[in-house]
Amino acid sequence: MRKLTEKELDQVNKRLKIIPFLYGEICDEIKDHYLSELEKKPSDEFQDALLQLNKAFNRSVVERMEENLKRSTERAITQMQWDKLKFWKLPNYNILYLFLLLITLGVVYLYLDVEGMTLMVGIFSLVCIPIIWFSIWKDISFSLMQFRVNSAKAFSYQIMTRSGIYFYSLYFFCVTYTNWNDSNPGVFGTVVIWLIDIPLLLYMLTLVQVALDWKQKQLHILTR
Amino acid sequence: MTNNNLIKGSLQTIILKLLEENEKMYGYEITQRVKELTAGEIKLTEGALYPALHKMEADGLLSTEIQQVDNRVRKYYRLTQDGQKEVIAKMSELQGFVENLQRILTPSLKPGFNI
Repeated sequence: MRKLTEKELDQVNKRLKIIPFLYGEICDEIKDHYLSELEKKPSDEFQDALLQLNKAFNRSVVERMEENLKRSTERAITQMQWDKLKFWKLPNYNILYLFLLLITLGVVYLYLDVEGMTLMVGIFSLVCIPIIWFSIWKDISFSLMQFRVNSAKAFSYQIMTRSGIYFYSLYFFCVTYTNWNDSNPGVFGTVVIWLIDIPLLLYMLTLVQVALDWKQKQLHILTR
Repeated sequence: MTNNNLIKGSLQTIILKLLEENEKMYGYEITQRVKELTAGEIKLTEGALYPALHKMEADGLLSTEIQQVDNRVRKYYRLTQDGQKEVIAKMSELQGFVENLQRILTPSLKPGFNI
């Protein structure tokens, strides 16, 4: 095994820059594979080996890798959100979240008119969405001019997507009930609002927790 | 060189078995281990290996761990509890298949033949 020269490393980096990776983890994994293989080759076989690797990691392979990584991350986040809901299995301090939830639901119950609900859910979002974005911001690189994500850690990207889903659900929800017979939704409307509202709040609360756990984990890795 | 379709069909079993024997492995290490064990007869292509690893991770059979090695990030795979159960199931499934294949290819073998 040999150490690659600066020029060789530059060639590898240039090749990897051509591939439009969405997830940083895929880029890291492919780079490790490239370097592990190339370090085993003598310098006169470097170009051939690099060509072989370029062929092996073509666009369709990278796309399949990204799709599967996306699936595994979605699965992991959903599992974590479900685990957070099982508050009785969590350490004692997490019981605070249960109280927070009960208080929130109490407020929802007491102010179940259009204005009260809008205000409560709005305040809740104003608090939660910045917390989530604060937790993942550094993991995502944006191209603001082109309005797209350049590359991101899969976990953060999925959390961002989920907070977006929440935001649009909330918007839809607000539009629906502000158009619902002014401030008196009636018994049926009340039940429907509750049925939509409770999962929405639980979804957001668990997402905040998952995002904060992720941030803590990242900090732990950095300080290790 | 072994037929690619045969390898494709057994790829998951190969990965699971290797990870059962080695606590954790990274992608390149898996390709090299297979090459070494089969004296170069079976070469896992990167295009098949990594999507398979990520699929198994998505299915909850593998968990991953990131480590910093020589100024680069390395992703290690290890079996989850579901993965360990899957190894047993896959191995018994494969063994049954090979036995049946042997019976078909060598009809003179007795029905009670076991590998």
